[in-house]
Amino acid sequence: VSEPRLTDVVAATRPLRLRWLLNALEEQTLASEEWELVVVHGFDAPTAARFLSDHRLARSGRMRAIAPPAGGGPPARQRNAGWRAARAALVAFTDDDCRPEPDWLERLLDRAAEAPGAVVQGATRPDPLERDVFAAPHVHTLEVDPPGRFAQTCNILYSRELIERLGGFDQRAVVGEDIDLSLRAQEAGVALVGAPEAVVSHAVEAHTLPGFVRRNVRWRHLAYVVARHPRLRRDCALGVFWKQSHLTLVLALAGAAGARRSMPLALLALPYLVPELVRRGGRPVDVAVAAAEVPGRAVNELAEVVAMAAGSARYGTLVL
Amino acid sequence: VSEPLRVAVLEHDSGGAGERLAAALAAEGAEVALLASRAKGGRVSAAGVGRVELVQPVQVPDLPLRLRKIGEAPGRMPGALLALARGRYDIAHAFTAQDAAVAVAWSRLGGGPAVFTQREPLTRANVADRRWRLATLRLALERSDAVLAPDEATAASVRRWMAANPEVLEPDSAAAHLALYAGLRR
Repeated sequence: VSEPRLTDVVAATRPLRLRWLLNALEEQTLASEEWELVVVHGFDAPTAARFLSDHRLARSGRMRAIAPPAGGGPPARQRNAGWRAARAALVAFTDDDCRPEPDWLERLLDRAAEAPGAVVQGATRPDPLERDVFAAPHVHTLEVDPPGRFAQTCNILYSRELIERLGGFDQRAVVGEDIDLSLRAQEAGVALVGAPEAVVSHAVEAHTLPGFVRRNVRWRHLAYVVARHPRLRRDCALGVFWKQSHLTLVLALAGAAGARRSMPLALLALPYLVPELVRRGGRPVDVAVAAAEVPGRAVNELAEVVAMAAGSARYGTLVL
Repeated sequence: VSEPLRVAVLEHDSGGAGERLAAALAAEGAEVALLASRAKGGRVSAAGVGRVELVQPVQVPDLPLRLRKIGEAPGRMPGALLALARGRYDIAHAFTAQDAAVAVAWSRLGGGPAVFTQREPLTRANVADRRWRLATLRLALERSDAVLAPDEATAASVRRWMAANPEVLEPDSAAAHLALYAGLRR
């Protein structure tokens, strides 16, 4: 059996979304003998049987599913198991909540041929089929205009040799292991190039406020990656705030607290409030909806800041 | 003489598979109620339905929810649940995921078995295109006592996109449905 040119590695935690990804991969225009798929998961046996084993990609032998004995584990461990199982010289990563366009793998390979040895990052956009979900106040999705600063594993290609040389993903990184790997690649002199034609659509998922807060507080572990790569501070507001909105929220809270003594301090809330109020558009109804969502969104942002403060204390570096 | 089976068929709009099933079941002697609303753009017609009782659940205003892309007609859900609770039905058979969610709730509150027919093929474009859409679809497929599809193409689409395995039963085949209901009630 000849080796494929490319192995697509997916670290999976959501079986249904994974199924949808498999359906999208099934439609890839790249010839079937030129690529393979490795799925690393921690599903129990009935779940794996229901969502994976009977899929055509599995039955055709193009997909291999790896279930580590100790379960899936963090993404870094799953992805390390995935690329180590790869038979191809090039490894493309995507996530189980993504839907690649049919020519995705072809476009990634084209760009890799133009820039041999480089890390190739494709474009990620919120899934247009789930656009209506943006009507929810707390939404998770992803948009990447490559090459982006974070080099997310939802749409990126490395050479297997490079990942091996770098020692793979850092399994101590609970989140941001993809940022860490790409920064180490760049520190080793490897270029990160964009492939805007290689498009992946990312799920648009609505959450309740408690669910959204629970989901986002795990970003406290980002402090570990920032501690390892101080250059990430260049992208932080004032070198400290991971998101601009974290800075403006802290200013707004300070302004609200100070307004009791000096009314003009309330103006400090404007840099936070103005973008929030017009984020759905300028019509009165849009502004009214956005205004109603401000308290919940502020609670989530504040929870993120507090979580990142806790992460900063744990990893000995200040990033909020 | 045993009591006739009382079946509630929930179908948001009219003229579809639910109405056909209702007519077929009635022709076989079942007491059938068609719970359908006068949805926007649709008109519920009892013509040709035979001995089917037409029930129009109360619809609460839901414009703000629909503008926020929540569900398809969420204002119909409380009224449909109330209608099921009042009706002393033996079976609730839903033809949309949202109605199936109502039927499942009724079942859990002491009602009879809930049956869901996915009446049209699923595609990637219609499994998660609105808020609540995926959640209600999963609930309908995973919590209903039986999941059906009207044809093999629809069943294949449910397997492909939801990894669920519906039984194929044509809406016109009243005898097969009655046998299924009898099995569920045992």
